[in-house]
Amino acid sequence: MSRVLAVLGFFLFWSLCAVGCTSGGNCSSGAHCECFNGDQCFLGCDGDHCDQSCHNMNRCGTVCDDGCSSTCHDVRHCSQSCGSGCGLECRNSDSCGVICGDHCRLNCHDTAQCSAEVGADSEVTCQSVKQCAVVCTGPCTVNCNGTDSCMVDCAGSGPAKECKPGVFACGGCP
Amino acid sequence: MSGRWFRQLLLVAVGGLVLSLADRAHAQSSIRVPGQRPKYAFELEPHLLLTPFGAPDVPSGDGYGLGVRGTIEVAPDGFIPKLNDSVGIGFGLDWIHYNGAAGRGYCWQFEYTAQGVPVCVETSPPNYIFVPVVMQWNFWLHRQWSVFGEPGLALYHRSGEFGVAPVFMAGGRFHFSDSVSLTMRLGYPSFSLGVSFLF
Repeated sequence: MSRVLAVLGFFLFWSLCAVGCTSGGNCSSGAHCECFNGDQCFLGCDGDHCDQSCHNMNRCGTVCDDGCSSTCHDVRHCSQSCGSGCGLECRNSDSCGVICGDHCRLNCHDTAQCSAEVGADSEVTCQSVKQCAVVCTGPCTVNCNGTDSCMVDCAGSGPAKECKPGVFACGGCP
Repeated sequence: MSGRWFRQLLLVAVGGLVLSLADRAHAQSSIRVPGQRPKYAFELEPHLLLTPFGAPDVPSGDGYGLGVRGTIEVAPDGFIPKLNDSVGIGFGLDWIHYNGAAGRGYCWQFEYTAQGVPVCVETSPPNYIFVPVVMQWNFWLHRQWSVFGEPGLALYHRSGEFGVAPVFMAGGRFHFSDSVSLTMRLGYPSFSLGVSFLF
């Protein structure tokens, strides 16, 4: 009898652990999620409107659908991808790689390299960036200030128009 | 009042049971009788895994999985002549799926910008393969119970990346017979529950 009870006890313990000790771990829609201090981390979002932050890591990235905000700073290699209507900031990094959809607002500053692909009606600012390279897949505005090089390409229609010193646009100047 | 009597009665009963079991266990103890244990050369143990610990190199939350461990007995008389101990070398293969913590995981898919800068576009909680190699130091306490410690290292693999993690386990077996036991481990990188077959 005691053997049976011991075995049942073990299995009960493990069954309870299987239910209670493991849990789903997504960053839920609208939540604030953060990764910091470590080698690498990639933050996902279970839907839209997440508020994501990466900092003080070797490699860190955020992935989200629409309407998200993401900050990446003091990370050697930052990665940010987002759907439409996002607000992104990348700073104090060796490289910032960004892919976002329409109505994207990207602020890259104090970074060696900022390389981005943005959707229509997006606004990009590169400030104190050695190399700023932006591909716009629709109308966009890129403001380069204090950059060693600023390359703006309008996907499918060649280089952007320089509206005034440091301000480039695809699809007509603002 | 009846509740208090019940609690006191329960305490006496539990105390009596513990003393009785301890006395019986002491009477049947085999820890000071070297060699009084199941004879085997190889232990095969498939097991389930649970871990409250994160993965070795990315934030990952807790996890679960399954695996198998094979242990070859290399020193039947162990390290301590007066104790019923033995030593084996264990090799394993464990798969663990981590649940991810607050959206944190590793990058499942990268895309590249025109300048070749990688951008993660899909994340996933990580899956790991561990290959542990451990020293298993057994202590044969009783005809039905044995315990062991397992220090070692594990090579791990995750999505194209490799690394090495420490392993430290403390475990116990409940022996149904001389050739089959229920085996549990607590430690890092994961807890395990399995059935050992002794050959």
